[in-house]
Amino acid sequence: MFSLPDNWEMASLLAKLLLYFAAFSIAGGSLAALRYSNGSRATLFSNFSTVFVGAVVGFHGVLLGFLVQVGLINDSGVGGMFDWGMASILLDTSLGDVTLFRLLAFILAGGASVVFLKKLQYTDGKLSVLLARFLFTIQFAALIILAFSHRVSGHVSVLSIVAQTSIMLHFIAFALWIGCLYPFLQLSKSTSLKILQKTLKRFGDNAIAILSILFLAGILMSWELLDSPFDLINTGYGVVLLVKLVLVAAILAVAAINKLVLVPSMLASVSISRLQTSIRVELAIALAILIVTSYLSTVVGPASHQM
Amino acid sequence: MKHSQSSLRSASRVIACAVFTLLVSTTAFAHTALKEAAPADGAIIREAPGHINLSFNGPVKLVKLELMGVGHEMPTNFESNSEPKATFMIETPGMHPGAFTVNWAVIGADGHTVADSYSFTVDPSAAEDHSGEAASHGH
Repeated sequence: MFSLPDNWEMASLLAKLLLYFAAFSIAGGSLAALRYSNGSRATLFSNFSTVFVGAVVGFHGVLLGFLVQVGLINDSGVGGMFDWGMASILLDTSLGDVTLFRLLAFILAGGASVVFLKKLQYTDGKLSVLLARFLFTIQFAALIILAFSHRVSGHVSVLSIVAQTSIMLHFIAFALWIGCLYPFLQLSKSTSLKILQKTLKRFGDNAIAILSILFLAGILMSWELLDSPFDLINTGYGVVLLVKLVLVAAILAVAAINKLVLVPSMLASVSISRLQTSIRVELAIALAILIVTSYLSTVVGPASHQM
Repeated sequence: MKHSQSSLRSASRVIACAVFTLLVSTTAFAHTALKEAAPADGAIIREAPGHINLSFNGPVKLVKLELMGVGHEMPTNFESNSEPKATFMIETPGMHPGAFTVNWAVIGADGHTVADSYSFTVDPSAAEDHSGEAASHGH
């Protein structure tokens, strides 16, 4: 039912994780700067630095992912990854299209974040509204391009338009939700209790909409990905999907505790400490979910995908 | 507190609905796989084939095909810039008795790379042809 990933699959898995990390950094950094910031220069600098780091990591992750595919085909060790003849052949396939889409997205997000960071550095944090809107639009456009790339390649890319749209929405919703956790962790270290509580409450309210989209899209995708209900227990893919569902239930439980217990009762530094611990737990579970998702999309396939 | 319990109950219902919906999902689709190869994996044939046939379960782009003899590559008419299709016939001129390995790689419709290899033997002294397995496995 299960197989241990070989070296190429491990490398593909790592590249996929870097892609997710990058996308979530861009989504979270941008959304936090736009809606969940205390407006201070330091906070904005931290948010856009997150976007920038994400863009750099993502760019290299995409390159790594592409070169790994070249190496997998040549099967002649690490040197086989740098066969430009094979690379040019692959660039002419859907794999090449996806690679170029994703590189473009990371260049756009990285470029916009650099402009933000320069402006913050040299203009004391005062940006024209028009420029700020333009740069935010670019960053969110980058996120949409990354989401769109999942329609071009991957298990869902050969399914119906409903499933393809679902994976885009699923990706964006999860990126926005999880991506905001790190900015909140940073915010909790540098802002007043009152502002932090107000910001987290606003996020908690918005998260209901984000989670609804996340769930609905996830359900629609799974509907088409599974052959039968028994796949969940009879196939490797189904079992891993169940593990993912358990992890999602766990992260939802932690998020619910944050929203319903920790944030409303935040009155002292001890509460902030608890909240920080809770966010770290959420981040750890999110990492586990991403590893499982990478495994699902890289190493195993849905039931009828097995060869 | 009542509000908290109510919200938790709502969250539980959403999770229950999600799991239930997953349990009743029914659609399937196919993934890239080599359905059939001729000569097949493990085949022992008496006559050297003039071509290799590869049949996949859907349109794929064949990006690599190497026919390896012992210590050398055999000539073929393989071209990597072919259009996606399900069946490929690769001419293999100049084959001779011996053991051969076919290394192949395709990009499936879903963009996933599938690469694998299989072997067959040309042995004129064999008592009879052994057809081997219908298809090989990829990863």
